[in-house]
Amino acid sequence: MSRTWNMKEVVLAVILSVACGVVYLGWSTLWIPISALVGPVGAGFMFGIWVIASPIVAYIIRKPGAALIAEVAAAAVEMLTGSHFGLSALLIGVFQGLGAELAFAIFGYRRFNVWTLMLSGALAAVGSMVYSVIANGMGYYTPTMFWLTLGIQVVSGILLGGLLAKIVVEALARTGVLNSYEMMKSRRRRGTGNGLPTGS
Amino acid sequence: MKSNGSWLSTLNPSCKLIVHVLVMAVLMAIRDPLLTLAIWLVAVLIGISVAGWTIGYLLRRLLPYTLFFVLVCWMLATFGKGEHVLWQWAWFRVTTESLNNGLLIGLRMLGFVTYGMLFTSTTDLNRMMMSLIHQLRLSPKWAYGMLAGFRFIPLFQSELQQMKIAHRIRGYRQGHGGKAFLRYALPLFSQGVRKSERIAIAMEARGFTGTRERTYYVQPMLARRDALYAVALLGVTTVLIIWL
Repeated sequence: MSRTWNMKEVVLAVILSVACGVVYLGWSTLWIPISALVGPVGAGFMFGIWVIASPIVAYIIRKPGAALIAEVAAAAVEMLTGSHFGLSALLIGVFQGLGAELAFAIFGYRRFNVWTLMLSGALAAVGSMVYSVIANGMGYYTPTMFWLTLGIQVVSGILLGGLLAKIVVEALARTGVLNSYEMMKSRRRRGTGNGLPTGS
Repeated sequence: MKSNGSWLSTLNPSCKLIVHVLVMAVLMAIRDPLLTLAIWLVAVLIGISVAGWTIGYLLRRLLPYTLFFVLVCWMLATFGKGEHVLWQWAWFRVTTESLNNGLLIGLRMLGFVTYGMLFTSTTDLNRMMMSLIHQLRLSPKWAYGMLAGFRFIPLFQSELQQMKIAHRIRGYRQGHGGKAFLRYALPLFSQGVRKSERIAIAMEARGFTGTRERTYYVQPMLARRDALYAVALLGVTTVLIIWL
């Protein structure tokens, strides 16, 4: 596996992240009414979507840095569409991206499966919490509030971040658009037919 | 992100970015609400004096966030930890520590937004990418790749909107959670992958290799005013920290 990025992969990573960023914006408008109904802790269940760019891009491209770049580029969408959380949104993206990247780095960028994707969702939630403690005073809440929020976000990161990313990418793979990227190439090398998941 | 023609927008984007992130890092480390307030006021002064903000613009932009920060401040004050109870009613419990923390965090977030606005309201995206290439040694492959990708934001937004309307007209009622996400994200992503492939091929077909050995239309450089701004802003911040 080559570690240098070719142009196709660079543009794919950026465009997919930008698409995720646009979905994040829509998700934010959905989040407000829900959080008004069930409160901020309950709405933490929706957190996972905001970290889905990393597992999606890393799973397809399988290179060092993919997860970090994806989350930063997705966060940049918020900055560029005129939200004045601007630079802070970008900083959160860096923290989440570093968390997500760690999941693939500890396996030496050799394991890309549903478990590492879920781990990356969980670690992105942890990264996000690290930022919240440093910048938003999350540590000043009562311990119950703190651990509850962290727990919910980690679970959400695992399910809506990691697991959903796996489902999305497998569905994308069935359309055939990913055939020339590392994910399908490695499947073909292992000789699983055309690289499509069985039963499709 | 566009330049607004003010003095601040003539500065080098990379330098401005680093200085502002540094000040934000200082804000993170500070635990005194008064000092945070002072550093935030510095940002407001910069905004009015050299970033071309009018009072009206400032109010229009900051007022919605201010309401949000009052909310954060309230949440921290009532649900935060602390010993010395000031006021208690039902499950709300305000202590001196939690009130202090609430003020601190509310002001810190306001400071973040204001320093972020100072950057985004005066910086042109293209110039920033060029500056990242020249000052921060970002590879042109990534800089131009990102510039190409960011152009798709409005397109994706209108595509998403179109899909929502198309679904509604066929009687689909929007659900929540993963299923709603898949319904809209899949078409968006598969179209995105196809577009990205075409763009990459188009770039390579026109001789774009992504190496540093190429000619540039604009080459942002560091000037004396960049040093002036960096020293002034960081200097004022240091003085405030020592003084307060």
